[in-house]
Amino acid sequence: MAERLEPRLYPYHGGDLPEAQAQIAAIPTAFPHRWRWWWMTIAAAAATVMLLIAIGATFSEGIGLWGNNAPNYWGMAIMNYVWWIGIGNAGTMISALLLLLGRGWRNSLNRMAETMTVFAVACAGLFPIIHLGRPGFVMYVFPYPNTQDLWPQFRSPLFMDVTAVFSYLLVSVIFWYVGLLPDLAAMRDRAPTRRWQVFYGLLALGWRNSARHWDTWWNVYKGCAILAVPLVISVHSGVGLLFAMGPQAGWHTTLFPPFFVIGALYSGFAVVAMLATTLRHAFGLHALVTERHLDILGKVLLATALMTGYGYVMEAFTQWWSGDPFERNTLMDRFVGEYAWLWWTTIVCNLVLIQLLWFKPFRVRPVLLFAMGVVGTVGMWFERYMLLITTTYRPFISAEDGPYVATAWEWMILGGTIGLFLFGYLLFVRLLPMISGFEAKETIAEMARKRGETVGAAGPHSPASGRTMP
Amino acid sequence: MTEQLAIFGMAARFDDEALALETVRAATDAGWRVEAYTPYPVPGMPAALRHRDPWPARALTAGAVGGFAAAMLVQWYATAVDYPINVGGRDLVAWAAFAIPSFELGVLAAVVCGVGAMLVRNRLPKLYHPIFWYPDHWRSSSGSYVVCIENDCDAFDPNAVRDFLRRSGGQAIREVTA
Repeated sequence: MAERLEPRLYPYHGGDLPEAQAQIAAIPTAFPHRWRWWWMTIAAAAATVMLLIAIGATFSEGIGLWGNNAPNYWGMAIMNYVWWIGIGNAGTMISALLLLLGRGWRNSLNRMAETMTVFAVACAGLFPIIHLGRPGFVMYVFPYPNTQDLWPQFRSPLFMDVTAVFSYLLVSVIFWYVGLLPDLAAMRDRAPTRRWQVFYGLLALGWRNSARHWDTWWNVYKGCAILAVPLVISVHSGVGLLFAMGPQAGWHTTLFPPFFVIGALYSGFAVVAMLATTLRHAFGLHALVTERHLDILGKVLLATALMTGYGYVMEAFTQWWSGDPFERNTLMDRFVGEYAWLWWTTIVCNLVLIQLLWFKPFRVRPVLLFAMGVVGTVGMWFERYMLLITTTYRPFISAEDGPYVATAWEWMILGGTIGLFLFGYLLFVRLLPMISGFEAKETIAEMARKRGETVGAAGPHSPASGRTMP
Repeated sequence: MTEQLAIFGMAARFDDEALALETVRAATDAGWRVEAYTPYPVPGMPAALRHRDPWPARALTAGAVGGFAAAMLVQWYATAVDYPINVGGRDLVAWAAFAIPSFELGVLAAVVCGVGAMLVRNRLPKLYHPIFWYPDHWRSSSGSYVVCIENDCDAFDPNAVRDFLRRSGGQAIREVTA
């Protein structure tokens, strides 16, 4: 039963919430930054076209265009995959875990974070397929009765990973859309023109705010959230196992699954911090995304960074403690070897610079928090690069040593996925409510209940009506 | 068709959550078929409507169990029955390794079944519904609560219902045509 007996507390909102909530709903139909939006979207679309060109070239010429060669079989494609899917993880954590824990502050951030997840996972999913060179080979990992009588290798973490990413993408999209349904209906009800009304009306599937619908919906939404949390953990643990299950020095450690999950959350929260500060500034969402939200976001970012830092220390310690000469060699190589700059960049970003978040201005001043988000995102990208290359470029037999240098095509693909992400995100900002409207209304109602005021339009803090009576 | 049958129900708008909740409770107690339209899930409303739908949760659970079992079955069939290969004497059925993809697919099946059941039980998508004719229905997605007492052909007396809604403090009381 969906009875929530004790009201959730929302101490983090300030300003004129009802006004802000009405303003959110009006953003798509009366978009404030039309020209800027067009320029940014055109730039993002151009980057997406670049992605298509680079993928096309890769498919027609083969992955010889890339820097991948023995012994560096994985290269940028896999590190970008790990990076992107990690970014996605934080969105589900914000929307699902914090929903279950009743953390009200998530209500202002969950929609933008979930959308980030959807597009980040879509970008991540591209990489393993591109990395095959011949994309048709991806069919080999799906268990279906084929003409060659082949089954995938079910014992391999590759199969775990494919099912994890595949499920994660679909579950994220479904969870996002189900959460969006009531808001789409609200957009339909306020639509100023027939065209918008039909657009949102079709997307809302005829949702009519019925209390019975809400109850059923809430049961399912909560159920999906309960399942989404372990799913997220399993997804990045699976990625960690891809590395850890082989015998390679530097990867072969039980630390990897949790280390990857925490690192993923860290990079994801860093991107959420960037998105939240940017959207807050661009659309004046100060009442819904307050300084206290940014403060908490900064604290969570710092906490996950510290856990990631613990991962670095423990990783180095286990490599040293193992006594294995290859492990120790890889460890020393990270400190002073050919790719030491990667390791040091990672450490400077994720262990040193991020400590600035201990100081309050870095958490509450949007510009500084944005900068910290950049530090986290870039730091985690370098970490993935470092973890991958320092292990593969010097395998067990030194005759196989070989450096890895990414080619322009690989950089184009990385830049292209960032463009694809931004393209999707810009469309979302333009067409859909970027902050969950009904949860903002819930917040308003619960604040009124707490103050003992009348809840609803008759109350002193009534939501502004967006349209006159027909 | 008589005019009586063409009435879907009698709807009223409430601008106060507590008032709407009370009205729904009283109308349900009076034996009418009631529906409320609210901007967010109102605590206590399902109880006031005496609404309880265990099916989506059941479907979710069944999806989880079924998805997990189906994935385990496929892996067991492929490795132990259809194409058994002895690799260094290892177990053909590596259930621990199989459990991970099965978990992922179990979650996927659960979410698909749960959301599917939610849509089926709510009879969505359904783009047309008589309540959309109620001129203030759109307000139920901003700050108001719409209560509709539906015409179930037996106990429905438009005048009595209208009186009841007026006494309860409802505004914009209108007949909703089917």
